[in-house]
Amino acid sequence: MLKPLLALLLASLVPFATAQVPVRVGIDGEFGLDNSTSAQAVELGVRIAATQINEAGGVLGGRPIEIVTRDHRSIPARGIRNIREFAAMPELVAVFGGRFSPVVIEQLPTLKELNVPFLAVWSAADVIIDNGMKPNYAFRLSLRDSLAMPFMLQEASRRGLERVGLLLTNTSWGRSNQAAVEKYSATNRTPRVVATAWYNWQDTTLVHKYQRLREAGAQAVILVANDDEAAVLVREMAALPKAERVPVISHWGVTGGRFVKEAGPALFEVDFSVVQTFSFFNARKEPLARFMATARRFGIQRVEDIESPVGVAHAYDMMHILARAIELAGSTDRAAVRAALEKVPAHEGLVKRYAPPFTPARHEALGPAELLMARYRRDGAIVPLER
Amino acid sequence: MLRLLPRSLARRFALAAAGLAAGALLVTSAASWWLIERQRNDALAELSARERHFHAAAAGGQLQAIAARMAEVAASTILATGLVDSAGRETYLAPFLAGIRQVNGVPVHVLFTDFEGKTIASNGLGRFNEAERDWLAAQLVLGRAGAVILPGVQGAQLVAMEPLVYRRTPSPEGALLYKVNLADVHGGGSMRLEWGPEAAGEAARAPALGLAVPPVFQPLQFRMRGPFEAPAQAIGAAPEYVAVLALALGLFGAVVLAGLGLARLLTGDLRRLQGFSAQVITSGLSDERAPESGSAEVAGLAQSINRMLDRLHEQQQRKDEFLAMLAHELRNPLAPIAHSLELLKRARGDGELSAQARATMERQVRHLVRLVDDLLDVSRITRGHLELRRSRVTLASVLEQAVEACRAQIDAAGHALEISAPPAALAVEADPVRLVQVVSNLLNNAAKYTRPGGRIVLEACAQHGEARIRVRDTGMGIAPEMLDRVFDLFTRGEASNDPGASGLGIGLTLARRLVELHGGTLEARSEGLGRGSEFIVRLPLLEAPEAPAPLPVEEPPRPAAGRRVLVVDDNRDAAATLAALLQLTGNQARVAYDGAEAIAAAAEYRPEVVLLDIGLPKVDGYEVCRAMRAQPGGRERLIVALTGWGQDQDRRRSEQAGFNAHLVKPADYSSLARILAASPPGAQPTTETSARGRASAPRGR
Repeated sequence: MLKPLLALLLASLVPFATAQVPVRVGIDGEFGLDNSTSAQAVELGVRIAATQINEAGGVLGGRPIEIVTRDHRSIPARGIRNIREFAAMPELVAVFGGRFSPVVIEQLPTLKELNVPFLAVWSAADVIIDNGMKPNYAFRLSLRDSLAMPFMLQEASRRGLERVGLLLTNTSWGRSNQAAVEKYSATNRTPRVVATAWYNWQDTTLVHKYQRLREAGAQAVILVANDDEAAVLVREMAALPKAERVPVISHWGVTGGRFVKEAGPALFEVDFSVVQTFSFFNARKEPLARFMATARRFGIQRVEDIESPVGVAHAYDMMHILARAIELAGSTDRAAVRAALEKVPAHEGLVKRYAPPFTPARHEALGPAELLMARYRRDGAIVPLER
Repeated sequence: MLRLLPRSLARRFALAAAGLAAGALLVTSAASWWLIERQRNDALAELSARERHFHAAAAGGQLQAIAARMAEVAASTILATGLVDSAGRETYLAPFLAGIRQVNGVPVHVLFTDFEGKTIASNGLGRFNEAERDWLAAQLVLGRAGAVILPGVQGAQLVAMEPLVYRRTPSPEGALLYKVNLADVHGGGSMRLEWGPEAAGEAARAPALGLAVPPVFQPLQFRMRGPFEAPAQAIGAAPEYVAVLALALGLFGAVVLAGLGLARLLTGDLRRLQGFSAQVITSGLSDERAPESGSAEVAGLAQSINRMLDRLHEQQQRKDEFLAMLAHELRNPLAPIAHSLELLKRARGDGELSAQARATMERQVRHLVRLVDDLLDVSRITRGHLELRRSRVTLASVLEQAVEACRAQIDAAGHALEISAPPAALAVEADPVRLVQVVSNLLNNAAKYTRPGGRIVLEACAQHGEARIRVRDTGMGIAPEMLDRVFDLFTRGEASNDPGASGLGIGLTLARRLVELHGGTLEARSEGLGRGSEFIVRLPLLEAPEAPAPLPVEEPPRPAAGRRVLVVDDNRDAAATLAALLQLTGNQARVAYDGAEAIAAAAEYRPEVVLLDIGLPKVDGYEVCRAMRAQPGGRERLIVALTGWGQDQDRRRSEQAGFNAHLVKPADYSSLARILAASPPGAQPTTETSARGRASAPRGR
């Protein structure tokens, strides 16, 4: 009853008000999760890009991009509710997702049901893209577990660590990584996975599981965790004798929160490296300059000021690709925009040059070439490891 | 009440003892009963409290266990995982929840929901209805654990919610909703689990005890109430009251029997005494005396009875003696009177002989009168009826009058009387007539117990603030053992020198009593038989002398003649002689012998004066007087009471009846003549006359 009325009202306004009607872009993130910075990073990237787009005249003949955020606190149920809200919003063309794969995985049936284009710029579980939807409304400009896990295992091998233990979160994200390990192990002999330990959401200690892996002969621990659990592990490891501390090769979930602050000085007592897709320290000059020019207006003076850098960079690039897809679609129709995303030609982004970003067969914008290992610097900045 | 008691003292004691014992038994039984009942009630209350405590603890324990288990489940990582990971929920979440279908035997319905209250999983025991879901939604908004009582199909249900809290987010991300049928929570027996605000009056039905429950349930105010019926059977039947009663009755009977025997034993001496008393009454006085043995009280009683018997015996003896003496004393004057009468008959014309006979008769009659007066006085004093008319009296006047009264006797015995006159101002507060009587008695005695020609000394003086009157003689004296007894009634000297003039042994008794009535003492002294005796009267002295009151001057009786007098007396001789005497002195006189005759005579004869005896047969003197007053001219009539009754109340009574004057028999003619003279013919007698008549009437010496 209300919807048709509203539509009628909007239609009547078109002749003289079309230029002002914004095109909405949603962000569904873990804004309300304490110590988390990932959702804020995504928002920052989207806003910087949207600012640039709007300053360049917006989309669809002058319509500004308007950003709508919703908080899911990393809880799937809240995320599902958010998707429903976004789906109900007029002129909303797509939703950016946050860090937590489990949330996105739980949202998939809803996305499938409501046909809202979903842009994953952090969450890495394979199934987010390999979701069986036809057409597929999910697009990713981010890491993928089946890429990240082999890379991390190879990193162990490179460092001569032949036996590794897996410490995984007992969620769909953890299982996604386990699947990646199994796939890798099927064809690679090293490193050998000597043991796997699972921890549950809200476990308050991980040291016993860590010790079990070490006792099983693990020379390194492949960690799939978010910032809070990782901080717990690091603090517990730092309390162990030096001989009992093995290197930790971590998935990047830890970079989505205030991990350095939570782990404290313990972080520098442990050999802790983390996989990344991008580093501002390695960024190409021209796109970086363009980015920083706008980012300064959001309080970013130096690249060191950027928290959760991959989230910012991915979101920034994705927003620009989305804007081009909207133009390509010529309307805010979600199906049209979805289809257009597969048709955006080459795009010169911050992370890389996308040529093209997506195709109907490939909804992953990044590949193994972008992967790198990084460490936390004392000031908290994430810097690439020297190769 | 007392009439209901048995007559026997022993039985009364027994009854009293039995009554007291029964009372004590009753009180003891009642107290024991009460104590037992109280202890029993206390025990029951204690038992109830324990039962209540037990059930409260059991129920509280169940609720605590449920809350603790649910909190534990809510905090489990399994549920936490279930919140973020739907994959495999069926494989781990449902079995996990299905494993907690009951806690401590209480079935629990469990529902695991998301942050909005949407179902994630349940333990499959049953569904939650709309109201329960709505409550959960509201509770989730509050964001904290809570509980509520909601109606369910099987009665009230405790519905509670435990939030799933993630420390990195500000509000619950899920909830564990659970419910239990409160009927499943331990109640038991007569106990009832209650909750919510207490209804008024509930507490009166049965006490309640609050349950110790976890904070989440505390606002529900769970409490255990009961028991609603006393667990009487729990501690056995009531005490065997019948046995107690039988025992009490048996004890009571034993006490009664023992009391009877004891009372009999204890009252043995009393009953012996009673037997003795009964024997004394039936067989008369004898020398036998009650045994003074047994208990102190009974021995004392026996002693008193014996003293009384002694005294009774003694008094009887004295009375016998007195009667013998009285007969003798009364007969003594009769012989000379009879002789003189005979002499008067024969000595016609012989004036000297007649005069001698008359003098003898007069003397003897006076003696008789004094004898009777003294007897009457002693009687009055003994009964406490004598009244003194005190006034200021000089000793000199007293001595003078006493000597005057006794002079004839002293002179007749040829005694020498020495009078040591007191100072004129020496005075006492006394009834002059009585004091004169005392002194004359003493003088009389001295004369009587002194051989003729003896010496009698009378003196009065003031000494140590007292007035003293001493009468000393050279007579036969008093044996030392008799000194104490001379004042006893009917005691008289053993050997009198003048048996003819001897008295009844009442003179000294009378004298001493009169002195004592005046607040003084009378003492007897003697150095022994034959060595004379001395009597000393001591009286309180009046300090400030006044002008000595003039001695009452006896007005010589004026001739009272020409009156019409009616003499009424049932003693015909008395009436006739008085009428003859009145006629002899120039009056007209008539006699009547009873009241009715007197009234009739008065109406017909119209006397000016009526001399009326009060103790008349049929109609008494008072009635006659009133009747006469009512007759024409009766008010002006002089009516004089002539009676043997001389007490003050008698005088008042006669005055009230309308008598003008009151004379006590035997009235001497001079008193009568004074009254007649003071009341001129046809005139009312003055009150003064009446008073004087009264004052002088009883005495005739």
